[in-house]
Amino acid sequence: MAIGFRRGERHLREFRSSPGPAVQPSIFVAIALPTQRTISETREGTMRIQIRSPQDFWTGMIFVALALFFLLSGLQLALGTSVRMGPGYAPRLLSGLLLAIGAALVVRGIAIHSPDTDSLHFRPMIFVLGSMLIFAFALERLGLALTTLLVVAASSLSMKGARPLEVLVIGVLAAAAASGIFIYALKLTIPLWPSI
Amino acid sequence: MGIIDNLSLGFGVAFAPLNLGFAFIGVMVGTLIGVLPGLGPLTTMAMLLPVTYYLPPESSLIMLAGIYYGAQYGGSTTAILVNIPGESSSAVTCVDGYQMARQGRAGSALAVAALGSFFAGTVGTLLIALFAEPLSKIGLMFAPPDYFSLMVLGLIGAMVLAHGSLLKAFGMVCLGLLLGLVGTDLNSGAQRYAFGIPELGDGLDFVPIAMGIFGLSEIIANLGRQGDQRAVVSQKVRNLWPTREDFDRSWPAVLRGTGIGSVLGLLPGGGALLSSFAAYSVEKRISRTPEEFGKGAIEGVAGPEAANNAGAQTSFIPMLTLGIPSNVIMAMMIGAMMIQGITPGPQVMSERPALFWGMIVSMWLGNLMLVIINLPLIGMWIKLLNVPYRILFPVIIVICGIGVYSVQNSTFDVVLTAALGLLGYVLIRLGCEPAPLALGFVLGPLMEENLRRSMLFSRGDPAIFLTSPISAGLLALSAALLMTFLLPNFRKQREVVFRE
Repeated sequence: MAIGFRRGERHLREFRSSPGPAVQPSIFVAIALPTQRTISETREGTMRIQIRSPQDFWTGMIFVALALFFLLSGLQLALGTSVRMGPGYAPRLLSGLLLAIGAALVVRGIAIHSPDTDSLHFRPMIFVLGSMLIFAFALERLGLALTTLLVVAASSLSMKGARPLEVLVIGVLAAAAASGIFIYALKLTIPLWPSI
Repeated sequence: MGIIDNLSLGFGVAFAPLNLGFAFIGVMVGTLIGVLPGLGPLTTMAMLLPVTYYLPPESSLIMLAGIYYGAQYGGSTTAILVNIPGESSSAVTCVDGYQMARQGRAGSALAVAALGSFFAGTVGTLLIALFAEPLSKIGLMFAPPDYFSLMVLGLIGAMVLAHGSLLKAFGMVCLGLLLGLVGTDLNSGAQRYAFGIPELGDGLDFVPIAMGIFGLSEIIANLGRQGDQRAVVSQKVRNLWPTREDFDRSWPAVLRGTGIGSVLGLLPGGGALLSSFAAYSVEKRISRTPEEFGKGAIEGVAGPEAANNAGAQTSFIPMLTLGIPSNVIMAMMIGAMMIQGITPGPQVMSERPALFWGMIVSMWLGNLMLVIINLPLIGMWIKLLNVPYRILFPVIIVICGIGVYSVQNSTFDVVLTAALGLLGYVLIRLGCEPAPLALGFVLGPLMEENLRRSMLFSRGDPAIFLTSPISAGLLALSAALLMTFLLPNFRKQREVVFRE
């Protein structure tokens, strides 16, 4: 597989790691360099398709993937008739629509140039989402106080040059405030300390 | 009951000490998060939604409403002093407000923004009081096909008014509708997209969607944008009163902004953001000195600030009278009503007049409180602006987590929020607006139900949507909206408006 290491490449990695049904690999065989104008053959004989608007193209790909996911995993739902619509009627209608929109965007992304492009910021993405996962994993096991400390520490890594002492102070204050507000004042049922 | 009786009932409810207290908390929190960039009213409401479970319905809705319109006031402070929109709807205010601050006219700009907002908020509240009753009477005549068409209109409105590509917005609506289908189908009892996970059996909750797609992705985007340093205009804000000249120039702009905002707030997909953009471009166009815009024209502050507040108020009208949210914030309000066991719709006004009128009067009171909070306490809000984001955002993430978890004590929802945050962030970076998705999600189940009933009623004949006059009218309106968008002329103008 020849992959042009240019603009679309980060999105590509992103896309491949995303869940959902596998899309035909041949579709994103190659992303050509922006200077190439037409579809051409490379030495290995793979097709090189130029993507003129990566934004449209990848949006379309994500829509297509999600539509296929919803379509395929909803196949066992009864379709019903238009008079008595079954539980599968709306899912099929909507995933069909999404599929068509996604396909149109893919075509537009290949055919029509548009200025872009916003790249993804991986560092904050990983640490912000990661600290959310830590929160989910730790809360019922470690209690709110320690979880808060952990989450503050983990999310601080999404910025360069975090100062450990400052992070510790923020974490302790946040843990105290969160416990005070949510557990003592609002009386939410959240464990405060690890249950042993 | 006449309007006087209604309003006096409302005053009784709004002045009850508990409700007065929660209105105050709401507008304080609203101003606070409005001032702080990176934390919007939607995320805040989502965080507080689980808490409202413990409050009486009146207090809960009064507080949440206060957060929304309070944020409109707070956002303008940040826009004027720091040149960063504290709130997306105050983005336009940055342009001329910040220039005024640099010229030493910050006091004038802040005062005009607050007083203009107050005037617009008062007019908006009055409009709700006047039109809510007749509109909810119309709402009671709605049959399933009419509701379906109304929601079609809502979604098309959200698509047309979103930034960027119409096709992408359409895709986001479909995705939202699909996500809305997750869970047990009410008609057949079949499980849809639950994959044997018990937490999915009841469907997705709105809070993880809102928090993931708006909250988390906003935080990531802010962190990615680290380069911009904030430069607070450090001069002391003196003379918190507009000069004679500023006053004379701003009141007509406030009047126009109020009118524009009141109308645009009603539109599905409209609300505060669109209103402020529209008001700015109108002011610039009719001004005799358009060259002053961008260099500190007071009209460029007065018009949009009035418009965003009027829009924030009138966007309550479709939600309160028809039970249909016109934007994502209103979807959140509907979520809050459901937590209290109230089904939103035209019957709310007749069945729970105390709730309805209490909320309306409290909006006016809240606006009054906001003028008082914002002007004399401006120094406190400026101090707050100096809190660096690196201290704020870890705390925001913790609060997001607690908010999502406490909706139904489920860590699964927190994981779901992270997953939706990933999807939301990637899609936003690819140029897709999240608002149509959220609106689709809320309307999905309702649309399916009304479509089903209509088709059952008409024995599968889709012509029913055209034979019912209300439905036909709404569909015609949707078609017209779509057509105006597709006309090249309007399209160009829309791009201009969004670019400014």
